[in-house]
Amino acid sequence: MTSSVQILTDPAIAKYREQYGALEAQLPGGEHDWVTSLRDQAMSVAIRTGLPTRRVESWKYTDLRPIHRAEFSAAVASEVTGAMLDLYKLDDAFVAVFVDGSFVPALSRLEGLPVGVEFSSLADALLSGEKGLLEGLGDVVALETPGFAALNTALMQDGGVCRIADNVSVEKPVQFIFVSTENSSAECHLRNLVVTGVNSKATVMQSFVSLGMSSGFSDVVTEAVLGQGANLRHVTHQDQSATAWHIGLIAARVGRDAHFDSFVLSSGARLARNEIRLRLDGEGADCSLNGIAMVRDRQHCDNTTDVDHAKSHCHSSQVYKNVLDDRAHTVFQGRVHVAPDAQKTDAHQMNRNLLLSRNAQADCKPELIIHADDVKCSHGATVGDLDQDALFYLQSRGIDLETARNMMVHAFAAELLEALPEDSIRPYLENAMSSWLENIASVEEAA
Amino acid sequence: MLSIKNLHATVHGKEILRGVDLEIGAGEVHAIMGPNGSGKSTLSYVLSGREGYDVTDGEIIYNGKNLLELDVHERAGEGIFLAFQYPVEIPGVSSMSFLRTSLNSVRRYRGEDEISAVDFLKLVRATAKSLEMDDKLLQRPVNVGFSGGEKKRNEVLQMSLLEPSLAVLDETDSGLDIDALKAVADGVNALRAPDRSALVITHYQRLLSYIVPDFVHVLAQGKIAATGDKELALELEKNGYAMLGLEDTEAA
Repeated sequence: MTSSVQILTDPAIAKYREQYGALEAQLPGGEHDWVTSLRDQAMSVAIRTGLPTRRVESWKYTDLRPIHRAEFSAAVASEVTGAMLDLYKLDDAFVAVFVDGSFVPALSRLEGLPVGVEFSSLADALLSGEKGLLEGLGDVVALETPGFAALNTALMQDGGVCRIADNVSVEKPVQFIFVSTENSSAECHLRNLVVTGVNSKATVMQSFVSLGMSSGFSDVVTEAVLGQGANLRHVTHQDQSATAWHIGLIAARVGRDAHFDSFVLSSGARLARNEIRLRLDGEGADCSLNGIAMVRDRQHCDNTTDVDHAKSHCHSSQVYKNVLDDRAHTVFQGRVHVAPDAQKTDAHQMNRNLLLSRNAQADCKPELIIHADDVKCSHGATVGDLDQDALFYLQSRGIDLETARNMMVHAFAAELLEALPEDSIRPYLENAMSSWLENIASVEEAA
Repeated sequence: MLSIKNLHATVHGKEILRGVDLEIGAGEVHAIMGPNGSGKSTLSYVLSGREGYDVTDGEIIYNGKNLLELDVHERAGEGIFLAFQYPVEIPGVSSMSFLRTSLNSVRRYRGEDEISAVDFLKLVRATAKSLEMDDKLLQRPVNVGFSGGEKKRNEVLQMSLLEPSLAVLDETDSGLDIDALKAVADGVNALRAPDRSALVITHYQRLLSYIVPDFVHVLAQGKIAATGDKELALELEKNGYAMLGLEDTEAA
C-alpha cells in the first residue's frame, strides 16, 4: 500500500518510468529476453524503492533534489577529435573512450590487448546478447541499494566490460575515459564490469572529464569481481565541469586472498558522489580504499564506503582526505560491517579535512558494526585549517603567501599520492592536483 | 643598516613593546638580553612581519626602506632572516624542495637567476657538511623527526644558504648541548662580514662567549633599559637582572 503511494508522489521516479517505457525497445539488448527481463526487474525495484531522500541513512548528507530539478537531454552527436583527449589519456595504457555516454572505437587505443584480456563496450555486449561476455553483470550490486543502482540497471546504455583470465597479469593500465562534450546536458547511465580471474592482476582507471562546460548527469555503476588471489587496482579521476552532476557507485566482491585497491581523486562536478560498496568474501581478502576530494565554490562531494567483512582474516584500510575552499561541502561516510564469523578482522578508517575557508563544511560519519569479538577496528577524523606557524615559517624564508599555501595544501593531499606505485597514473594525478592548486592562486589574485 | 625608533607593538591587543630604540650598523653584532616576558621574541616577530604583531607607533627603517610596509616574504628578500626559537615541523613538505623554493624565491626577489638543480644540490651538501649536519636529515620533510639540536642546525643551514644581511637569532641557544651550541655559533660566525649584521636574542650569556657581540642591550618591560658591551652580559650573568632593578620571572 505504502509503495503505491510512493510511486505517485515520487516525480523523479515517474520521470524515469516514463522514459523507460518510451526507450525500452531502443536500449541495447532489447531483442534479448534475458536483457529485457533484467531491465524490467530493475525498473520494478526502482519504482518500489524510489530514489533516496536525506532520511535514508546512507544519503543523510547528500540531497538529490537538485539533480531531480535539473533538465537533461539525450546526447547529441558532437565532434570530438583525438587531440582534444591527449591530456586525459594515460601514457602507455589501453584506452577506451566514451563520448557523452557512447563508446567511440576511433578515439580509443585498444590494439594489442594481451592474450587473456577481453574488452568490449557494454552496448556491444548487450547487442550480441552473449551471456558469457556479461557473466557477473548484476551479480555484485544489489538492486535495492539506496541510490541509482536499480535505475542504472534498467537504463544502462554503455560502459566498459573488461575480463581478465586466470593467471594473467596485465602490465599496462586499462583506462576508460568518459567525456562530456561542450554544452552537453546529456544524462548518461553508464555501467562497467570488471572481472578478474584467479591470481590475475590488473589496473583499471576511469576518468570523467568535460571538454568545456557541460551540465549533464552521469550515473555510473561499476561492478568488479575479484577471483581468488586476484589483484585489482582501480583509480577514479572525476574532473567534470563544475556544472555537471556525477553519481558513481563501485560494487566489488573480493575473493579469497584477493586484493582490491581503490583510489579516487574527485575535484569536479557541482555535486559528486563516489560510493564504494565491497564485500571481502573469502579469507585473507584485503582492500585499501583511499581518496582525495578537492572542492571549491559551492561544490559538493560525497565519498561513501561500505565494507562488508564477511569472512575471517580480512583486512581493510581507508584514508580519505578532503580539501575545501569557499562554500564547498564534503561528506565522508565510512561503514564497516564485521560478520559474526569474521574473526581476526583488521579494519581501519581515517578521514582528514583541510578547510581553506570558514564557510566550507565537512561532514564525517564513521559507522562500525561489529559482530565478531576478536577484531581490530579503528576510525578517526580530523578537521583543521592550514597551520599558521608553518605558513609564517615558509614566508619568513622568502616564499610568498600563495606559494606557501599551495605547498601546504599539496603536502596535505600528496601524502596519499606518494604511496601510489610509480607508473603513469601517479604523474597524471599529480598534474590534476597541481592544476587545481594553481586555480586557488589565480582566484585570489583576481579577488 | 637597521634603525628602530620609538617602536610600540601589541600582541592580541596587549602592548608588549613600549618605545624601543635601536640602531644597528653594518657588520655589527648586537645582543638583546632580558628577563622573560620583556618582549625579546616579540621584537623578532615584529622585525619579520608576523601576523598578529601590530605596530601601533614608531618606525623601522632597513637599508633606507620602511620595513613595516613589506610583507613577510619581502622582508626575507631584503635580507632579514629570523632563526626561530622553535623551528616548525612541516609534514609533507620535503626539505630539499622547501630549501630550493626558498632560495630561488629570495634570488628572484633580488633580481638574481634561479639556481640550477645540480648547483643547488652541491651547495646544500657542502653547507650541511660545514655545519656537521647529516644530509640524510634533508631527505625528510621539513624539521620532521629532527632533534632540538638538528632543528637549530637546520636554521643555520637555511641562514647560510640565504646569506642574509641581518640575521635575527631568537634564543637559538635554548635547548642546545655544548657541541650543538658551538656548531651553531661557528655557522653564524662564518657568515660575519663587513656588510652583514646580527641581532642575537638570548636569555643567557652562554651563547655570547661564542658569538661575541659588539653591543649588548637589555630589554625590559618593552624598552631598552641598558646598553653596554660584552662585559654587560658577563655582569648580568653574575649578578642577575636584579642589578638593573629588574625581576627575572624565570626561576633560575
